[in-house]
Amino acid sequence: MAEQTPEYKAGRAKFLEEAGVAFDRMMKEDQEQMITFDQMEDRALEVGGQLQRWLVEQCLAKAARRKAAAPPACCPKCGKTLQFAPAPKERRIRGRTGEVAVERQEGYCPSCRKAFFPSGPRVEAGG
Amino acid sequence: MKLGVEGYAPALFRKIVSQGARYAFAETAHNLQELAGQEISAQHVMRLTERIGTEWAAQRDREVEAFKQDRLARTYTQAPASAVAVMLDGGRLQVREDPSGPGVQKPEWNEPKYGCFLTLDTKPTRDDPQPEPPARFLDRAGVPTLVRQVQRLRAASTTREEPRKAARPAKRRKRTLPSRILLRTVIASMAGVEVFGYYVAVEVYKRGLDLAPRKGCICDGQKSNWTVYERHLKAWGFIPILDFLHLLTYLYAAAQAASGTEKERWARYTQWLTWAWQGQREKVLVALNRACQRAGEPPAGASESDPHCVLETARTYVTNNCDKMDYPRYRKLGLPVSSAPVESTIKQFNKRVKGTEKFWRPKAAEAVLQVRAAQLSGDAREDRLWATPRPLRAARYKPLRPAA
Repeated sequence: MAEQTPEYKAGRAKFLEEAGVAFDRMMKEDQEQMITFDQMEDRALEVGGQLQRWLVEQCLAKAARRKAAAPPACCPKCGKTLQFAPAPKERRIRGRTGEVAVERQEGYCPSCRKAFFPSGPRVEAGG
Repeated sequence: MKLGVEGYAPALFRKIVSQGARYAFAETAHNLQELAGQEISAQHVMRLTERIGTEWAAQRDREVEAFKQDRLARTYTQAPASAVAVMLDGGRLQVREDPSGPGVQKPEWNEPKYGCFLTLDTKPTRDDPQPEPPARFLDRAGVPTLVRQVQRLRAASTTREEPRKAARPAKRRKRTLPSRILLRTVIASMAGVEVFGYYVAVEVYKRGLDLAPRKGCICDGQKSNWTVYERHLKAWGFIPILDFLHLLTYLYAAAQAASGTEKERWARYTQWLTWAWQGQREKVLVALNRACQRAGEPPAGASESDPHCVLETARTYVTNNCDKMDYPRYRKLGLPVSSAPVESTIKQFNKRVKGTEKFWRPKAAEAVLQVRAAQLSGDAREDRLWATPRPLRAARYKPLRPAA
């Protein structure tokens, strides 16, 4: 069972709110367009997809906050400390649930003249 | 998070590459759109598949280096307790010049090499488990079809195939024996025989096949296969075995080329085949020598299909491979005498890489072969390769502005 921090509680409340919006979209809105099975299924996929993407984005944001608190990462090639831009960089990642935004700190190594997306003190595979 | 620089989540990325190695890139793009609702161009599917295949090829090459320096670790801690078989063969695909402008420049046929590594569930026996040739090798109506099938596999396929007759309604064939193959792994490469030999050696070593109590190397008569055997497998104690089906086609062709009535030719074939099956190699050789002498010297400028040449080719084939035709011994050891598994493996590869409209850049072909080989290997190799950390790749080459 996850620790019931205020952040967790706020997140959970937000989720229930989002789920409520999804439910209303499914059960209340444009009911005249919900006649055939395909129409119902399409709507369920649409609202479910939105909810899935929202959940993935929340998880990503949590991971980003955790990483921001970690010690500065080093260049995986030369080992020197990376320079970081003041604001995290937004990347769009396409996944099975659709496209989600990922905010990641891009580190730049002035010696190697290369930029990386380190996951913390050590860089994850694939940048 | 194991996110690459490609902008795809790992699971979707794997789906794209996995499909790109199974079907044509355009077909993959269409399928992804149709079945998964993912918009992606054929060109991009190609790029991603090639990238992963190239990474896996680089990993394989690192393993070869480690093997050469005696640093390679075995994948399996236990050696196979039963028989193992290594089967090697060459396929065909069309390549084009790289780099080149748009369109296909300088197309030509190339021969990728394939290896099939099997662990078999067989036991050694004191007596030959099957002293008489299988009935289908002596079926007068079926043998010509069988010969054509084997020859078609060997053909360059540069020419249009003859239209086939309408297939007979398929009979439900009763499967009498369970599959004896416990595990199959596959390798494929566009590399030359020298380099490919090391790929074979690495695969054998990693799987511990060299430690198996009974081991055989089954190939057709192609010289490059036996070069790999001589350089890498012989020292490990693999027994060389000539694929019986290929031998059958040579014997059938020679028996047909020799003089006599249809009945006499068939009787000659069944006699030669039975001798070969029972390991009476000298008798086959003597009979072929006699048939060659009787036919006399081939006329000047005779074609390959000339009866004299057919007989001479069969005699050379049997003479060169006589030491690999002790079939009763192989059967007693529980080793296969046919390289059918590698032929069927090649068919699976050919579905992806061979076609009249497919002209590969050699690098792309090598990459696709790596991904496809991992998919066809039965040891969850694809999962392992996907789980391996990918090489670091810079996110971009343009430097950031200094932090404020």
